Amino acid sequence: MAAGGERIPGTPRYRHHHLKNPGTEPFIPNFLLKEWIAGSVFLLAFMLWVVFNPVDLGSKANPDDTSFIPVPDWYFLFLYQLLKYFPGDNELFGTILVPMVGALLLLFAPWLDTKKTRHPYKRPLATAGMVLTTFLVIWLTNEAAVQHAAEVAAASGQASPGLPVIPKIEASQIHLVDTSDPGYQLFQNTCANCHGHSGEGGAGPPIYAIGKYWDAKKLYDFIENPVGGMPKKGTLSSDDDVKKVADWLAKQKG
Amino acid sequence: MLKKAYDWIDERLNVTPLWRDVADHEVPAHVNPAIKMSAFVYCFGGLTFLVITTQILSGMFLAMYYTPDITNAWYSVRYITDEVLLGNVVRGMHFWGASLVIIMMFLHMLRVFFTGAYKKPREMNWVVGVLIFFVVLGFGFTGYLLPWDQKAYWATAVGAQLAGSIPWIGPYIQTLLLGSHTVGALTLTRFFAIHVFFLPAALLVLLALHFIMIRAQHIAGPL
Amino acid sequence: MSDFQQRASHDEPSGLSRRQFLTYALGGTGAFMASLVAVPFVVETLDPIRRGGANRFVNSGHKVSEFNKTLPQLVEFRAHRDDGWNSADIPSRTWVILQPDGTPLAMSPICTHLGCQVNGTLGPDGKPAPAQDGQWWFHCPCHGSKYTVYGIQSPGSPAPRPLDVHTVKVDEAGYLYLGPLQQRNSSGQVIS
Repeated sequence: MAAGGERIPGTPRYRHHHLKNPGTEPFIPNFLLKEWIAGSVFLLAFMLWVVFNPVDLGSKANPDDTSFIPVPDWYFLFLYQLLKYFPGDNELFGTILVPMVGALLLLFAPWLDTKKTRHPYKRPLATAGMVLTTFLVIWLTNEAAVQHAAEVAAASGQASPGLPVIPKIEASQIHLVDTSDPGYQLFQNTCANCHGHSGEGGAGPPIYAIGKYWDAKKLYDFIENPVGGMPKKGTLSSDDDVKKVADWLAKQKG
Repeated sequence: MLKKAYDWIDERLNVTPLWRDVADHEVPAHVNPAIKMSAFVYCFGGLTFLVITTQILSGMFLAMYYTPDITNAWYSVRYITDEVLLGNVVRGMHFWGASLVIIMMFLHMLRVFFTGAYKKPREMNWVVGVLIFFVVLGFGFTGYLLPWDQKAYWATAVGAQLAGSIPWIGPYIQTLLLGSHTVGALTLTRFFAIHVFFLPAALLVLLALHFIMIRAQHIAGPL
Repeated sequence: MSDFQQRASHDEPSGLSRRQFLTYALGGTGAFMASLVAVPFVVETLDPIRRGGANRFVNSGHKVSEFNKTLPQLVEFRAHRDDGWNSADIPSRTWVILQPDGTPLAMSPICTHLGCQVNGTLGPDGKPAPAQDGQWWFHCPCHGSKYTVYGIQSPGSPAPRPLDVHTVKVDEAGYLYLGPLQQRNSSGQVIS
C-alpha cells in the first residue's frame, strides 16, 4: 500500500515515478475498478452489437439436400482453406500434419524459445514466426471466405464478381449460331449441364452471349483455369476440346 | 449484520488471508492502462474471461428452452428466436460471444507471445492457456451444430469427413465423434453433452489453474 | 480489521476516504455490468408468465338449440393445446346443459376430487336419462362423488367443489364455442 495510496488533502499530489515501486496499486479496489470500467465499455459495445445484429436461423437441417454448399464457422476457415492446397494423396498434410505441427509448436513455444530475453525485437525468429503465422491465418481465412462467396454465387446461377454478367432470359429467346461446329457438340455434352443447353444458365451463370465480352483466347484461358465454382477445363478432357468449345463460344454474341 | 456474519465465518474458516491476498496484491504500473495507455493490451485476458462468463450465463439461459433432439432442436431454437421475449438477444449474445471469445483470446495470446511472458518460470501457464484455446475451439465446433439448421448440419458433415480422412484410424475417430456413421440424432446428443457438460468442466478446471498460476507467479515484469 | 481501513479512519476521520470511494465506484461498475447482461436473461426467464393458458375458443360442432334444460348431453370436441413449439388438438369431452335462463353450461367430466372421469346417468339406449334418485346425476366411479345435473357436488361427496366449467361463447349461427376451464365455488358461482 506504499504506493498509489489515498491522497491526503494538503499533501503534494503523488507522482508514481517518485515512489520506490512506481505506480503499483492494490488489485482491489484501485486496479479492478479500472479493469471494470474498460469491461463496462466493452460489454456495452457488445450488447449494442448484439441488439442491432440479430442472428437468423437457417432452414431446418435436411440431410438429403446435397446442393447446400457447406462451410465451417469462420474461425475454422483457415484450416478448411489449408486443405485445398493439399489435394489428393497429399491430403494427409492438410488434415493432420500441418495443423498438428502448428498446434505442437504453439503448445511447446516456451521450450523452443528458451533465451532469457523477452523483448520481441531481441528474438527475431520467434517474433517473425508469429507475425508470419498470424498473417497467414488471416489471409487463409479471408481467401476461404472469398472463395465460398464465389461458390455460393456460382451455385445460385450468378456470375462471380469481376466476370461479365449476361442477363437471364428464356431459353426459347436464345439463338445460338453455327450449331454444326464440333464445339457445339462438346458444349452440349459438358458445359450445358450447368449453363443450360442454350447457355441460358442453371447452376452456372448464363453464357449465351459470352462472345460479346470475351474473345476465343480469353475464353480458352478462363476455361483452363476458371474462378468461382466452375471445375477445371469445364470437365472437358483435353486442351484441344477446350479450344474447340472456346472458338465456338466466341461466335455467340447474343 | 453483514459484518457479524462475515466474522462468524472468518472465525471458523479463516478466510481473510485468502481474499486479502487477492485483493491487496500490488498490480505493477506497466500493466496499468491508467498510467500508460498502451498497457491496454494487458486487458485482453481479463476481457476474454468477461466474455467467457457471459457465454456461460447466456448458455445456461438458452438451455432452459433448447432441446437436443433432431425433431425438436430446430423448432426450439426458432421458438427462442421468434417467440420468447428477448430470446433473440440471449441467443445473439451466445452466438456473437462465441466469435468474440476467439478474437479476444487470440489477441491475448499474441500479447503474451510478443511480450515473451511465457518464458521461464511461466511455461506451464502458457501450456494451460493453449489448452484453453483448444477447448474453446471445441466449444465452437460442437456448439455450431446445436441449432440443427442447414449450415450447422453441413459444417459438421464436412468436419467429420475431414476427421475420417486421417489414415487408418480416421473412420474410427469419425464414428466416435459422430456417435454414428452419419451426422444424425446421436451426433446431436453427443455434441450437446460435450458442449454443455464435458467442455465446461474442462474449461473451469483449466481457468482455475490459469488464475492460480498467475497469482502464484505474478505478472511478468516490464520488458 | 484490515490495515487499510484503519489507516483510512486515522487519516481522514470525516467524509469519504479515497479507498471507500473507489470501493463504491467498483460496486457501481460491477452492478452496471451485471445488469447489462442480466436484463435479457431475466426477461427471457419470465417469458412464460406473459403467456396465458389455453384461452382459445374451439367450436363444439353443436348448436345451442340442440341442448335442453333437463339433462346434460355429452359433447366430444378437440381442445387446442399450445405447448412451447408443439401444438396439438386433443380429443376432449364435456357435458352441456342449458341453465334455467337458457344459457349453456359446459361441464368438464373430470371429478374435482382426484381427477377421475365422472359418468352421467344413461338409460339402456345409452342416452342421458333422469337421475335414479331424482337428484344426483353424475357419479364418480373412484370415490363415489355425486353431482347434480348442474355439476354441484352432494354434501357427503369427497369432491371439494362443483365440476369445472368451460367459458362459453355462441356465434351468430348459434354454434357453441368452448373456452378455458374455470372453477366454481360450492354455490355454483365461477370463482376463477
